[in-house]
Amino acid sequence: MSDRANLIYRYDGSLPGLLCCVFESCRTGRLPLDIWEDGEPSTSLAPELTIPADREEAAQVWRRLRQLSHEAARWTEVGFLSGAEDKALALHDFLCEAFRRGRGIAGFLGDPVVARAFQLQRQVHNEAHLLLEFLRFEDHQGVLAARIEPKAFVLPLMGGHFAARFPGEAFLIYDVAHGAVLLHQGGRMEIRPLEDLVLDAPSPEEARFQELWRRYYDTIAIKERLNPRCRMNHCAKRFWNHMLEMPGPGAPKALETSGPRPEKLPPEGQALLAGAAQR
Amino acid sequence: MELMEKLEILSDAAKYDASCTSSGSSRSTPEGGLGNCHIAGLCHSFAADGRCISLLKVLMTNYCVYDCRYCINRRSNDVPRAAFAPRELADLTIQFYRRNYIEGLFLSSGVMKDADHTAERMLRVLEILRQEYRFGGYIHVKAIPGADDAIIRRLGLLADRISVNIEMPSSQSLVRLCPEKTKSSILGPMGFIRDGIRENSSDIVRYRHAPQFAPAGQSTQMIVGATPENDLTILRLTQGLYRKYQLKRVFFSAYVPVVQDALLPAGTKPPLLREHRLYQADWLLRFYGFAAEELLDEEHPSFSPYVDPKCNWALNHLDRFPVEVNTAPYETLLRVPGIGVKSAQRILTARRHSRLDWPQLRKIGVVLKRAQYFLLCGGRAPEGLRVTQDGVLRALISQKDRELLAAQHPQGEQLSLFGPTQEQLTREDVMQCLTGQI
Repeated sequence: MSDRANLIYRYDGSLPGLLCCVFESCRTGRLPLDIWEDGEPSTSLAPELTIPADREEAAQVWRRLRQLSHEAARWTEVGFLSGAEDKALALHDFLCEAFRRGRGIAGFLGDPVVARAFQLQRQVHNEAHLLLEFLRFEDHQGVLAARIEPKAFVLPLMGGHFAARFPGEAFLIYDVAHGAVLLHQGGRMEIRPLEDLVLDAPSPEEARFQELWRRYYDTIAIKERLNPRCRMNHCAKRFWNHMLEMPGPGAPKALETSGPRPEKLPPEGQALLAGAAQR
Repeated sequence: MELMEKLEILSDAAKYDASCTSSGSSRSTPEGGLGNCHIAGLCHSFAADGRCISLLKVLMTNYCVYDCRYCINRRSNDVPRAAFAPRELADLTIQFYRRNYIEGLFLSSGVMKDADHTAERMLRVLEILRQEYRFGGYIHVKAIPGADDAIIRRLGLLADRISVNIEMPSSQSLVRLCPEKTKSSILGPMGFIRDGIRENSSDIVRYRHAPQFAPAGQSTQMIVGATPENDLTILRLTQGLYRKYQLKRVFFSAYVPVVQDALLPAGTKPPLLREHRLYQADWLLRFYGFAAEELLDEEHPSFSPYVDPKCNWALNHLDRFPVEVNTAPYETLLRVPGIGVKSAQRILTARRHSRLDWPQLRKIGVVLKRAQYFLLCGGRAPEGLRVTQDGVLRALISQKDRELLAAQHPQGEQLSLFGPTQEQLTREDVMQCLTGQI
């Protein structure tokens, strides 16, 4: 199954859709040149084949994969959250390879196809992990709100951490880049699409804690050891926009603070904020 | 006094403590409370000096009855003084924690009135956090030397990690610079804590809900570069502390001249490269199965400024290299420059499935630039490997080392490796090894 057909798959951009692509390749025994999402502009003269997402086929592939290797299934799930352009093809090739080689596929780390899948999921995990650390909540009348701007769609990997840590808190994490929000209250957690999130200016009390934190941050550095390169290595500048203690011209005060009360917040979010205001 | 001002004074006074880790404890959120601990710890921010900020690191107070020469909080130093009220500090910790600024609290203190009084105030903070807030986050507390064992015990039962700073790498230096402290006043509590942890670990086996005593273990710190001890002395001491006192971590703090004193070196830059080498060696002791005596000996009591301790060891033991990556045991792989714990483990996994070749090794995450001189893949060296003095040295001296070297010697003369410098011996060793035998 190593030769590639002169063919490009179109799929619906979902994981089941991708699994159906794998189904197709295993059925025909040939790999496509590339896999594109519906709506993505064509950049090749190769013929295209639209692969419809079929629940049955997807479930079958998934079941087989889990029998083969839980690890490979997990890599696929997590790697699929990646924002990398080649993720669909990379994961597709990985799954075809998994079905070809059989059990223990996750051990073939030297194989380029396996290594790419490993790398994809590792990048997603790493970014999610960094954001668990670098995310900053802001207290809005008892609701904790944070903004992140990740490359991968990491919200599904983040909720559990904060829910376990703050079981009694109502919180929301807004992913600016992917237009989605994670809501948590009273043991319930949900991810919903959301275009924009605008919050009130921080209360005087909130502003005071932010100022305390900034003061602490500035004080704790030893000036004889200043090392901007080292800081950037550990905490890349792309995270700084949403970290209130970090310096820089564009450093906003954690969240945008102007504008009216959000109307676009989904009902759950509204309820969250309203409920907290009454407490 | 305003909280803002207190926070500034008491974090400024605490910043020279190197330890800011939140690792070693694993705890789920207490019923009705907030906060948990991850075994690997989390770093919430990085300060302008590149150090991780994991905990709210403050002193309870910077008033102090002692007059240790190196310390910024010494009695005779003229600095603004402040003290937190226990509740004030506990509240601040919780508010920082729920905003995800920090992983918990690092609490140290100057000695106000006497050791017991100070330790009791610290204990009060921990009690408010653990019992009133039901806080499950990380707490690192300093044991105050001279405080009553009973108080230290209660601190240990509430904290995740407890530590006593050994301060100086030898008792002579300690006597000279901290006239009111003695070796036994430091090692005493250290032994007490070790025994507490030991006893507790057997309790936990017997009673599942026995309260845990310092579950993340004990750590310590010493200042490097303020006193004449060489690297060998420091590394031996470190190894001794790991073996005898079962410490989890030993931290090194490059000496920053914060106070003027006739007994201290003045106007020096902090020896960051030396600190870096000590940490590298510390990792080798803890995770790579090295002993202090393998890395340094009486004839070479200091680390090479050019290559890291592991590389240095490998260059001095070329008879053991190259090793075959497909068959070498884990312990041997760990000793190859360019292979770390993670890549060694991945090699073990990967070679169970297929024979490894050079491109695969790169995929696995081995730093071939270094490792290529010490490895064989299927009996072969990498294709086109050319061994030239210049190339090998450039490959083995990391970018970070180069930067640190440049920072220590701004004139740059030390950087021309082939120019005449006083590091004759080390350099010659390196050359000889590299040209003659690989």
